[in-house]
Amino acid sequence: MTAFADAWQAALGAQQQAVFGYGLLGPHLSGTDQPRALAAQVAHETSRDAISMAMTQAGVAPANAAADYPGLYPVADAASALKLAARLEDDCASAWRVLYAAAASDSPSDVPGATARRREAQAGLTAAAVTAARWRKIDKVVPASRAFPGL
Amino acid sequence: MAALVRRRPARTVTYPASPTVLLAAVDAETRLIAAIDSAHDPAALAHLRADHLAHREALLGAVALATGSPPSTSPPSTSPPSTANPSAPPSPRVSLTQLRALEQAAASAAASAAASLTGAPATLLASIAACEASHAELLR
Repeated sequence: MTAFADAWQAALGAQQQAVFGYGLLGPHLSGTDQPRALAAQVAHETSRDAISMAMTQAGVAPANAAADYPGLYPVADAASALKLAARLEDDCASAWRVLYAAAASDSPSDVPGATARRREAQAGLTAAAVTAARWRKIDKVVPASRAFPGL
Repeated sequence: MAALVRRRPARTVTYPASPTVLLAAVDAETRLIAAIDSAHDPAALAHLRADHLAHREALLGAVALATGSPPSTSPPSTSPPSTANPSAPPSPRVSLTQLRALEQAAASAAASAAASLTGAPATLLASIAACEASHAELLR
């Protein structure tokens, strides 16, 4: 498998983990945070489905989601839920950044639809950075931004 | 013998487009730092300023790698100005709304610049674009 295909599968895996993780943490949130988590989960579902479709169209078999993600536990309260939400987004940012690097390689012959893949990776990286910063702001974590999201 | 001394055509050394793109990104970071220094409460924006300083340093490193020599631009101060020069005219204050718009515009510009490059500089600018979009979010 090429480095790009590995990165593509990892980006899909990060979306699958985020979908699962928001389902885990959402019930521990209250007020406006709960619909915010639901919106984030829906966004990751959309992204997951888009990646799967693009992979299939390119002849790459998308890997299935795991049945469980033990590394995301425990989520016991709102505080741990907020921290997990930021972590899920940071993990997505890392995966998108790796995918961007693979798609922007100097020899992109192994990258199906390199321009589209870069555009998707940039959009995903930006969305993850913005959402992670929003969760950290809610959690009163300083600093809320990361200078180089995905690193 | 004449064939042995035939002059080769002069080689023109041209840099790839990336130093130009990267230097423009350095300038953009410098302008954002100046805008933060002109805000009503720069101390409250210290973390954003630190991010831009880190961006600028990383971009200057990328320029040096691309050209083989450090660029001749002088870095801005690493700490916000503590006192204003009393003889200098007051600079116009930048509102948070204006700063948010500047960050959003910078994010778009960095993403476009990234798309015009390949390799590590492209990925660096893509990450910087994401950071600046997160700044715009934090300034809401």
